[in-house]
Amino acid sequence: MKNLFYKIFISFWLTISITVCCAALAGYYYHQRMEQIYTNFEIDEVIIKASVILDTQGITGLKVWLKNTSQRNQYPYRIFIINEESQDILGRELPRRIFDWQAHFDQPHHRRDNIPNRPKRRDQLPPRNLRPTNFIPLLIGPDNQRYRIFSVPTNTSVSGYFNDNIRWFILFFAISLSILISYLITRSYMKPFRHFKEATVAISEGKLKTRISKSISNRNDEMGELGRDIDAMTEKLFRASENHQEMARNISHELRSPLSRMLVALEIATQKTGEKIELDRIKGEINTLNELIEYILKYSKLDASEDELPKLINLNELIQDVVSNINFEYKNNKEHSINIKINANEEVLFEGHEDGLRSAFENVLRNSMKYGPNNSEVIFDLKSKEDAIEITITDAGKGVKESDKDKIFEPFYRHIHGNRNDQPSGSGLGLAIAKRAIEWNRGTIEAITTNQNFIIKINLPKDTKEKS
Amino acid sequence: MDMEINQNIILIDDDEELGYLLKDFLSHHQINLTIANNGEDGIKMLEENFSSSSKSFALLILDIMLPGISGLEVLKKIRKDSDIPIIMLTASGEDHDRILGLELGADDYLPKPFNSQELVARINAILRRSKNNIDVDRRKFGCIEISMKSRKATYNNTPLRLTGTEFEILSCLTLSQGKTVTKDQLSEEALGRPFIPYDRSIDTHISNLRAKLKNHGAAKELIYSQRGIGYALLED
Repeated sequence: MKNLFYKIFISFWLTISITVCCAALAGYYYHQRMEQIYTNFEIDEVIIKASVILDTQGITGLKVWLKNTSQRNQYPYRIFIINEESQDILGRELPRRIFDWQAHFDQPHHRRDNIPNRPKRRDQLPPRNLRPTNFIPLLIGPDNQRYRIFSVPTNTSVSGYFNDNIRWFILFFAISLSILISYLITRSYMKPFRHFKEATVAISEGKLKTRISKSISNRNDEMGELGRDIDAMTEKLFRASENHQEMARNISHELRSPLSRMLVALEIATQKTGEKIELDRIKGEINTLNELIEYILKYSKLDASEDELPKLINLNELIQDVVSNINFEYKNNKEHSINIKINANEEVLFEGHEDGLRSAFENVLRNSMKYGPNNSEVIFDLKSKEDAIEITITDAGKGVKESDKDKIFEPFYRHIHGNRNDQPSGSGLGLAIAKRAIEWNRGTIEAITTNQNFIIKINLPKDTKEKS
Repeated sequence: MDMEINQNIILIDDDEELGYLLKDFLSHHQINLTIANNGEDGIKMLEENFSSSSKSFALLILDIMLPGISGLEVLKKIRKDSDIPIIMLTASGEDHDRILGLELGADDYLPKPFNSQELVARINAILRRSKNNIDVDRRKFGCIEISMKSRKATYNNTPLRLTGTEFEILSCLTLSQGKTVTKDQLSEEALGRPFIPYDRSIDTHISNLRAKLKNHGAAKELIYSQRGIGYALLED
């Protein structure tokens, strides 16, 4: 059932046909009105008034009256008073119709071509036997001058059926009504789209439990179909993500079980043989393997924790906590001592995922601790700017090549070119985890190498929810 | 190590091979390990053990990832009628399980794969702490009263049901008489090991203690937290 198709089709069709009908009706009405005006044209009242004025106030009074009447648009037609020289007494240009009338009624046998000032017209004389019965009123002035009164319907006299204010009102009403109806129709079509947009944004943010609201997905049209498709897709994504997490958990468990056994067996071997150096070496490798498993697990888990809602985090406290933990890690390392300094002037709050931010800060800081030279300083800078929270971690290490500065955030990237350090070490996942964790918090992370320093710059968005 | 000969300890873990290896390893440290391969067997063995009391288990090592009924389920069942010290084995990275385990009453945890020496150290620390030499038997602070000999604690003269670790923490706080005790100290006293970074055990035990004290009418702030340092008791 292609419901939406018909809906759009019918609304287009309705709009167009209503417009056409209205236009036709308006045309028909206009035509009727014109005919009415031309045929039922009553001029008595005006004539009587004019004759009285001419009698009492003379030609000057008549001129004043005529001027006032035409200025006021008092009548739905224009009145011309013509003297014996066929000139309007106000000196206005005469419409062609008046010449015709003059020709017909006044000088029926006169060739109209001879009428002075008459504009040329292609059609020639009317039939000789045509004698319209309308008369043209004649006024005799005090000085025996003859005046004729003509009236011509004005263009405005048709629409002038309504007065000016009502006309504007109707125009305004028509425009607003059409806007309102268009708005309502459009909105009713767009509403599901807005909902779809919100839902897909939520899904892309990892909220895989999002579902299209029943009022839309239960619909019988394409919208409902689309809604159900989106739901089905989300369900699949959700299951895939669950499987993925389950898989990561199982892998880590399955890999760790043999590692556990190896470690115990190794201890027993150490006890029995007293061998130390090689067995310790093996133990070290087992621990490296274990760390790697942990990093992989963490990396694969980072964007999957959709159930975790963002919380308000005090970044100062979080950074303090991370720094004290890292300090603890390096407490006994006498060969590699680095001082961590925190620069934070104000308290900065951020709504996000604490676990993610914590592991991002930890991994970046650990990276800086590892590659910073002995007896140097790592500076942890926290600033709240106008539109973002800026966190920079600066160490005195050598940094990486310009071409590699994005690659260090890729999983298992090792700076084999010897830029950052000569021997590759670590899991190769630390900065990748940091990047993923920062992106989970809708932020950005980048590396900057200067002559003296290596800087990791993290930007977190300030407006916590940008949509709607 | 002033261990008596052959402590009896029970391990619940589905990894049989690991069990045998551990049994072998621990036997060198005068620890006699009994192995259960799943939760049901483990609970049955412990119940028989409680009733027989001839050869009693001094400690339980419990793997959280078990087939059938899960480790956390086992933990809940056992804590219902026993305060036997429990060390959980967890897969590190599963912070959620770890914290839940501590909340359900486990005393300590060790992430797998673990260093066996470390396991022995933890076992000994927990076993040793209940045999601490006691110079003062009774300690009192505010409404809290503690008897070291009978290992019983009361609040407003009503007895509190605490696990071994919770008892240790409370007695440590009571002894300090309102002064702040650092997390490091608490970890040493209650778990027998130094505090390690990222470790939330002490915090979890404290929040369990608070919940239990609250059930007896104490204010939440009775155990006052000094951020980044440690905890202290407030006089009510």
